[in-house]
Amino acid sequence: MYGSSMRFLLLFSRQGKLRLQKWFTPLPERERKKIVRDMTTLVLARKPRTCNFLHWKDLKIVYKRYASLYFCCALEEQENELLALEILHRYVELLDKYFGNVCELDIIFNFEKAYFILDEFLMGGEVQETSKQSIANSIEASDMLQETMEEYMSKPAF
Amino acid sequence: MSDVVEKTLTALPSLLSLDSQSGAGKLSSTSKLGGLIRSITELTSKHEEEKLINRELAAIKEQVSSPNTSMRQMKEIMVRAIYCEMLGYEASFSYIHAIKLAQQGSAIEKRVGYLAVSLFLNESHDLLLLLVNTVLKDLQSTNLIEVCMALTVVSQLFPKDMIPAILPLVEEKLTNPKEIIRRKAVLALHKFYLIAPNQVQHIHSKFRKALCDKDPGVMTASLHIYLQLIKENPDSYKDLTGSFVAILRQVVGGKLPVDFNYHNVPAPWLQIQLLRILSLLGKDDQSTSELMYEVLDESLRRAEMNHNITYAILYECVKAIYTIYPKSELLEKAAKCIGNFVVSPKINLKYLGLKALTYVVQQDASLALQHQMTIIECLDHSDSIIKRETLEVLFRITNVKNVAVIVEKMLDFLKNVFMEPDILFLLYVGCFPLLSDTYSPNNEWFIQTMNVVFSLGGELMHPDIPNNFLRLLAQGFGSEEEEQQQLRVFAVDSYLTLLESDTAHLPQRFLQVISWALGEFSYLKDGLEPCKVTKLLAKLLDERNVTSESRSWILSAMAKLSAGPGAAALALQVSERYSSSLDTVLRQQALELLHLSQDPELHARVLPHGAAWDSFEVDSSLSFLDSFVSEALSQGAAPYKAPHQRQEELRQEKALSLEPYSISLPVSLSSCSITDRQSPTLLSMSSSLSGNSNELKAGTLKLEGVKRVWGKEGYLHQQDAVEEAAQVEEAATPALPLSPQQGGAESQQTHGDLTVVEQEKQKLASSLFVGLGSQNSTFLMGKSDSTSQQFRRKTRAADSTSSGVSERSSSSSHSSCSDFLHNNLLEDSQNSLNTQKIGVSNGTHEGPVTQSFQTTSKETSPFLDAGMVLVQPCSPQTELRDFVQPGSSGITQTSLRSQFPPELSQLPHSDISLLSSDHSLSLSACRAYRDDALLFVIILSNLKCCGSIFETFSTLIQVASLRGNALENLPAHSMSVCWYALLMEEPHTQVTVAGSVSYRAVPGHTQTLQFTDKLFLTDFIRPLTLSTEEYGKLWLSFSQDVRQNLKLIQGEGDPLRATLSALKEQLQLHIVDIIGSEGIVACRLLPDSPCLLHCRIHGGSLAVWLRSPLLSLPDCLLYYCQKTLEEC
Repeated sequence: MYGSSMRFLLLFSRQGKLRLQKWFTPLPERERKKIVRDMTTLVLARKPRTCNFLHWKDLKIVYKRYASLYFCCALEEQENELLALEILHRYVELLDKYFGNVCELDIIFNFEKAYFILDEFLMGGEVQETSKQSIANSIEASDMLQETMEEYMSKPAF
Repeated sequence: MSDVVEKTLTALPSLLSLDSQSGAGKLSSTSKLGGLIRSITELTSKHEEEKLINRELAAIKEQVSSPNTSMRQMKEIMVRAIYCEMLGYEASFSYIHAIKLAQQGSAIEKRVGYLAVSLFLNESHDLLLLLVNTVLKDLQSTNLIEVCMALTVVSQLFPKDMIPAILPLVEEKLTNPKEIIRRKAVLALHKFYLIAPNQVQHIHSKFRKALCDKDPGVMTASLHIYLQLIKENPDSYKDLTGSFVAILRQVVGGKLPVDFNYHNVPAPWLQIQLLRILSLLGKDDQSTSELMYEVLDESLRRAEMNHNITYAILYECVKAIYTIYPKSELLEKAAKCIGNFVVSPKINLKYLGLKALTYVVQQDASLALQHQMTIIECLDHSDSIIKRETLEVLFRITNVKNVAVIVEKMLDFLKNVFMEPDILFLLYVGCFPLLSDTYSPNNEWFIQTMNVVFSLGGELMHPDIPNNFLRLLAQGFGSEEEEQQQLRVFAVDSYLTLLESDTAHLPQRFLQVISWALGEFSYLKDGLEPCKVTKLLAKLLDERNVTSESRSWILSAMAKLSAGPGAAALALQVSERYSSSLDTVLRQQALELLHLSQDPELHARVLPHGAAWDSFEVDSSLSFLDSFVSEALSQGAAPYKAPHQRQEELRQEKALSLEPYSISLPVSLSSCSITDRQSPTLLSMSSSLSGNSNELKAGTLKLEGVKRVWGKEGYLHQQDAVEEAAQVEEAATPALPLSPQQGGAESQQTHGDLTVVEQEKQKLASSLFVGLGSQNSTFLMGKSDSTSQQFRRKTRAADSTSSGVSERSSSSSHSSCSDFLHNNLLEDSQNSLNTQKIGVSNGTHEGPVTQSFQTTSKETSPFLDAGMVLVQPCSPQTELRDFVQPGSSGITQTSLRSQFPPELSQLPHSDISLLSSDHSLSLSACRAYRDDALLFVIILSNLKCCGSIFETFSTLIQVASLRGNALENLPAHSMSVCWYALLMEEPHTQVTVAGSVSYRAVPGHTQTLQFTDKLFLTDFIRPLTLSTEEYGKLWLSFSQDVRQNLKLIQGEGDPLRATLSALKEQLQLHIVDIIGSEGIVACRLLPDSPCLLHCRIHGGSLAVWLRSPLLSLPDCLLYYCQKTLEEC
């Protein structure tokens, strides 16, 4: 097991339904399922007005609730918890910018878009791009490509 | 095509402004996925959901396999498959189609394909190999977005052994004109570096280029790599400190484009990354630290805004300030900052403040004192996480006076909240150093505390805890024999009481501890009939919830007790019952018990009371069986074959070959890993265990694998410090206004109307923070660096001859685990050696002797070490270069060489180099290459007067045998030589050995000379002589291979021959055969791990495949091959 600074990121609802999962280190399927179960029970059991950090095995869990969704990520021991909270926050901002007033339904129905945004923001567990505008640009670029590519593909190749 | 994309990209901003809501694709709620989601939400039961999803999956399955499904439909289907998987249903049939989609789809479909692949597959999944070609194609694409997608998926998951295939393409992207590509390429390389560091070592210079990139985003990305590199080897990057400081200064000064701001804070991620790097660089290094004081100060000053992100920066800054070489002014500011955190009403900040406090109190306990009331409040905080952090702080300040209160708090926490294995461990780790007679209030308290720990901890408890506890009981902590006995008697007493009451609730681990302790020590208690103990144990044995592992512990305890009168009859009864047990271990133990109880003589021989620990001899070669074996052989029995041999033969008999057809295939199909074998060493070890003899018991105390964390060494040193602290404290208390009791009294005067609760808190505070006032306080819990452990032992002159031996109590468990033998033999020989010396030194009236040894060993990042010298074996006949040691009276290599014992001077060896010296002693070392081991030769020369010298030496490399002569008196200007035979257990490119020599030039004054040296993998490589046939067989028996292209030496003659012989010269390889453009080469890592190289000229370079049973050996060896060829 090698260390990227973030090990995984999970989004789940108040009912414990998984909405998005991103694993930055390879884990067998069974392990993943167990982690998702552990995380939802641990985080959902937290009372309001407690701190946003937890310990789980040798990892630090940082979570935050935005409306009906919990954003939860796991960090290595030496990582900065507050910074991780801001990473979650920035991700929410990005989703918000893309969907416009994002809500849980947006993420349920367009989860693949949420993944694409995440991929532009984090890469291999590290923050790749922090500028909201740049991320929006590259996502839009890929979205736009759909049309232009189809036009292109209808032409004979090279 | 690229033009199209470029145009689209440049047109984007205007498009965006036209349609600001373009992204909100809420349309798709009408799609099929939308339908699926809606129908799921309408369901009422899990069962219905299952039915629906299974129907859905069946439909998907049909659609994907239909040839008429277009890529566009496939994309939609894939999204639904991902959704089903997220709900927890398997859709593995769609994996291959996800890859197909990534391969054949157009951009947007491809993106979904890649996403599905990265969500479905794991790094080790077989199908991933099919993705390699797609990634290769996309990396070469002229389409910016396709390249981005490929880089993203590569950094998400990529098979490790396929990295070389795409590495050149990713490398090339570092010079791409688009910054987004450069950035993604850097991050992909970062990922490669993490999973296969040796593969990317040659592009190191390109990382520097990325660091100097004109785009701050690319530079930020490169810092991820640098952080990793510096973590592994800070020394090689000290020269970059200036640049990092300059970057940080610019960032803090707001010189970056506004784009990088986050809530008006300039590039916080970059700042934190830089602070982390700086703290690694400045650690223990004054001159480097001085470079950063100013910018750290500025960071502290600038981060004033009231936002989470500035707190994150502040926290990192404080951590940096406490990590680097201290500067009082900065420390003060940092302490203030922590104070603000701790008292903050924001709970997250409070948490971080406490966390910082745990870090800081080790250096400055007074800070805890300043915040004692806050800490007390946090102790009762409603959030258990805060509580837990507070307890950690408390443990860091534990000392003799407050230990009881703190442990009590900890136990309360455990009882009331929930079982957390790490808290238990903390508790245990916290307790142990306190157990010395000066620390723990008394022995009884300790035993009782441990009883609570064991009962609460249950099966969650870290197995080290009971093991170490028993070790401690067995060896004592070096205190007086009498006290130690008292501790044991306490233990026996309390366990008897426990057994007499209800035992059903006791965890198995605790039962095991109890039975072992009773078996070993119940004879110590006067008037205790062994038969009474045996009865209690027998009762325990019959209980239903006792596992068979615990039963085996109980039986071996009974075996120890069976000698006593009365116990034999009971033993007989028990053994009769269990000799028909289904469990073979129990059955064997029952039979042993039967024999032992009936034959007192045998019992006394096998299990003597209170026998010295090291009086047992373990014949790990099982030579006593030799006659039996030879007899059996002569009667026609088949010779023994180790399991791996048998497996090998079986495999060869089978017709089906799982090996790839041709070794020149660039990929080892991962199906080969089905044959995943254990390493032969492991297997042969277990085979040597299989010869079971009477003395070997499976279930008894396993002390051998356990790290000796709290051995005798740990304790006496602390006792020392405590005595000191106590003395100073006594003197200081009256004068010190900060002393807690007085502080409490003062505040009571000023606030006469304190509530009772407050008073209680104050009382608690005074009991918790007692003994902290000055820097003399001891911090036993220090999370000491994991890489270095320091042991110190002080042997008292009084019990000189006995101390090394008699403290060891008997242990009936011995296994032939080699690890145990090596470690403990090493330690034991040192101990006894030391003891003898002290015995003599008493005669010459010399005071106590301190001996210390330090172990630091780490795997340094291979390609960082610019200053590394490859040691060349040279024959003894080579001319010697004279060198004069600084400050010495001209000791030359020749004179050092003359010290070599004859058996060493015949061996090839490296130059003798001076490792360390002070005014009276100099220490040189050289490496001699013996066929079966590396000899590390240490030459000590006394530069001045006479004195006695003791020395020890230790390293994480497995020490095979030790031949060190500790010297009694080393006359002036004379030298002494000792050497150690070393083997490498795990392949590392380089390991550090560290040690120290303690000596006394003036009676009563002991000095220590520390030294470190580096050993390289090549020191442990020897040629492996094989025939081509043997080579072929061996090659097929390993399945994993590593491939790399190496430089060819272009000279006159055959380049292959030239290259191979260069490698042979430098690395001690054996060239087995060269046929045409292919060559096979073999070597072994000491003692006997082979590594096979298959080389072939391919284009202008040398393609090499390496195979070895040790997975990391090829990588390490490749590093040296590359290095050698670069230098040629």
